[in-house]
Amino acid sequence: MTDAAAALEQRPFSVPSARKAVELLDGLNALSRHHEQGSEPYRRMVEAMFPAGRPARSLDEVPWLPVQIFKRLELASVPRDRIVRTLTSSGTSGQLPSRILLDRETANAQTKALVRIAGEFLGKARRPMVIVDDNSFLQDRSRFNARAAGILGFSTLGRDHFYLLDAALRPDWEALRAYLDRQGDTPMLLFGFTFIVWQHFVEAAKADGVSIRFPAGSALVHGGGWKRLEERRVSEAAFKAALAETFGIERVHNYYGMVEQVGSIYFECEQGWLHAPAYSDILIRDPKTLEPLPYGETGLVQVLSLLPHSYPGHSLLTEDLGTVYGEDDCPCGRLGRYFKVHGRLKNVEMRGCSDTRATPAP
Amino acid sequence: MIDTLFSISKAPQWPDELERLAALPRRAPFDPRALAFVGEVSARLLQSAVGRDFPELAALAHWFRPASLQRMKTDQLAAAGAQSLRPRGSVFIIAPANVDVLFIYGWMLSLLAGNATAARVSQKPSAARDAFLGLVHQLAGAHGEVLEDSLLISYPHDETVTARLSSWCDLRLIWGGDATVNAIRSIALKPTAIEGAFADRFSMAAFDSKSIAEAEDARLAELARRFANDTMWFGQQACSSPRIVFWIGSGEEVEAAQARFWPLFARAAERFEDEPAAMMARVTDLFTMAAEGVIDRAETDYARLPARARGAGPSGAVRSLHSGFGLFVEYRLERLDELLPFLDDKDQTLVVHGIRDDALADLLERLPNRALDRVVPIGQATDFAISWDGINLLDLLTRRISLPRAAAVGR
Repeated sequence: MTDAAAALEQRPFSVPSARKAVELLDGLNALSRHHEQGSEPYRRMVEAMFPAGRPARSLDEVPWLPVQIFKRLELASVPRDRIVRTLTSSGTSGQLPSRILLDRETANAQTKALVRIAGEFLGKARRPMVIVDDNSFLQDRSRFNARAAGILGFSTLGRDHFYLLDAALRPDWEALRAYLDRQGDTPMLLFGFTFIVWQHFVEAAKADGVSIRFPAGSALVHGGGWKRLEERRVSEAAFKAALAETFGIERVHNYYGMVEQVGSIYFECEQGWLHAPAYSDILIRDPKTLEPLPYGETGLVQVLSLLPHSYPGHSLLTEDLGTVYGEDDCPCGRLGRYFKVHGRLKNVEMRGCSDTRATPAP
Repeated sequence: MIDTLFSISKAPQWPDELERLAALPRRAPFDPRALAFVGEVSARLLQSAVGRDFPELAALAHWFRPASLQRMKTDQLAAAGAQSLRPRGSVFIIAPANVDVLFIYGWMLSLLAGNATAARVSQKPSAARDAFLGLVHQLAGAHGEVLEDSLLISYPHDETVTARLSSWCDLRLIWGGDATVNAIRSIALKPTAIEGAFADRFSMAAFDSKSIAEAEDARLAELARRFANDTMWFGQQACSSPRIVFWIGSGEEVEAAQARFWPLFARAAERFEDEPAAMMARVTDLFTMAAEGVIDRAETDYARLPARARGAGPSGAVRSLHSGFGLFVEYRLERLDELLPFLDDKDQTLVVHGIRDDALADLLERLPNRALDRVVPIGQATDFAISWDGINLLDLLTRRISLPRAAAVGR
């Protein structure tokens, strides 16, 4: 964990590429060794699938796992009695959720990373925080789904949390007004999942004829994917415009992340790019050959992170499509690779006689 | 909501239609009117654009061509011997969601056998099925007598409808995954009814390496092309598509055979679409198999077709971890009979090439429990066969009435 700990001590967007590549590669190679020693299934996968041998000489040689593997296997690289938390993905119907096993060290590193990254976009002060979701998940903390883990993780960025929605996802506008009155002019932090923010905050306010202004400087952080908004033909620009118009929220940061790789939280900068911090990186692979692609080309997103210690999730090939546009030269001034995520591969059609993987009959 | 895709009735009412069908007289098996209808379907499919647009319908038309119907009839009557062959009665067919045309085979065989037939067709849209149904509607005027006891329906998962049909029929035929078969099995049939259930199966291939290594170039390219059809036609998800390849021979022979065969297969597989999500599915399968110790080494170009991996020894898990999409687990065996420990009750089709008859006979002699229902040459894995999972469908679809004397009655 020393590599991750050291990386976490640096400012997330201040390490130039030459130094980052070396430090990241060393750290990832050390993690590969750690996971091979700690997890027999991981060792078998790496030996069968990456027979060329290790250590990796460049980031694209670091062995990776397909992200769906966590739906099939429960992988741990530390003794099971060290696991303090199991994260689960929400998962589509008929599919098993991912199960991510965290020990205290890994869970703490994740929290710390999030705070440091978010600080670079939102400022260091902890602000009053409105969560555009309900808090029923707080009842059972032993198993977190991705939504609960996201809310709980991001809630450490603010104070005096206010949950806007009830269990039926209806907003309580009166309670929100009272909360805003209590907090005065302090800029607020808002957090929610993209689709919930759209449907149960923006559209709900329009439907209810509600007009609420947040204090100047308030910022919304949202993530979870554009798929459902795309289906409704809502663009990023329209999303931002609606938040400014309806609530006076001018600062909106999308983020990209996944439950399967703790610490891989990528915030969108003022220029609209997602940014990789010092202890994490992004590779793009050709969806036909899996060969690494140069900047500017679109392919499958591979995420690398120094944080996953309790489970072998430091290098994952996702089923998301993305493009890396460059490194260290984003006009926003943050160092590191900057990129966009365009969505997920469309599901493959199950054919043949075995018709029931997704839909049991009758 | 029951959607009637075909009925001779102008305004079909549910469940009155079932009573109407049951009350009609049964035709004798292979009644000339039924043969004429099926023959015309076959001819029309082969002549029209439908057959060109949908190769699976062209294959079906070929399978039901008149010469083949005559052979079916002769075989079936011969098997009945001195007994009288009659239809089973009323038949309820459940077809899988994802093989569009399977219901057509089931329905037309049932119709040929003389049964009143209700076939449940999947709700999933299918252009091939629509084209076929369009043809049936065109022929309904001229073939009303044959079609009056057929009902093609579609309905969402609804146990009460399935229960009604199950209490109506004398034979229930189910094609589906294990979960479908189990769910429908729990719905009672009437006490005198029987069932044919065709659940998830697994298939494999056994190649004599020397035969492959020494085959002429053109011959081997043709074999590879046919094996690509066997495996890639339904994304390697047909029950009968091989997912394991056993290479029989010495280490050198096997290496030589693989080195010649797979590049030709890769070329032949190029005409099948390979979506990135399919690639990720087979890659995830490979990783899972590696973690579980099913394979110990993958060829590293697994993003491309075919994805190949070396099996680590007999394992039951390979069957549940393998979801197709152009993935082959390979084993080298010195002798054919070394594959016996690999077999289990799930195994349906063994595709063979270059295997000697005596070696095959010895293997079949020693098969465990109920493993294997078909052994076919390369290129015939996904062909429809009257004998399905070891059961002759026409035997299910008919009855044999024993007679007091040797003289054939009602022939």
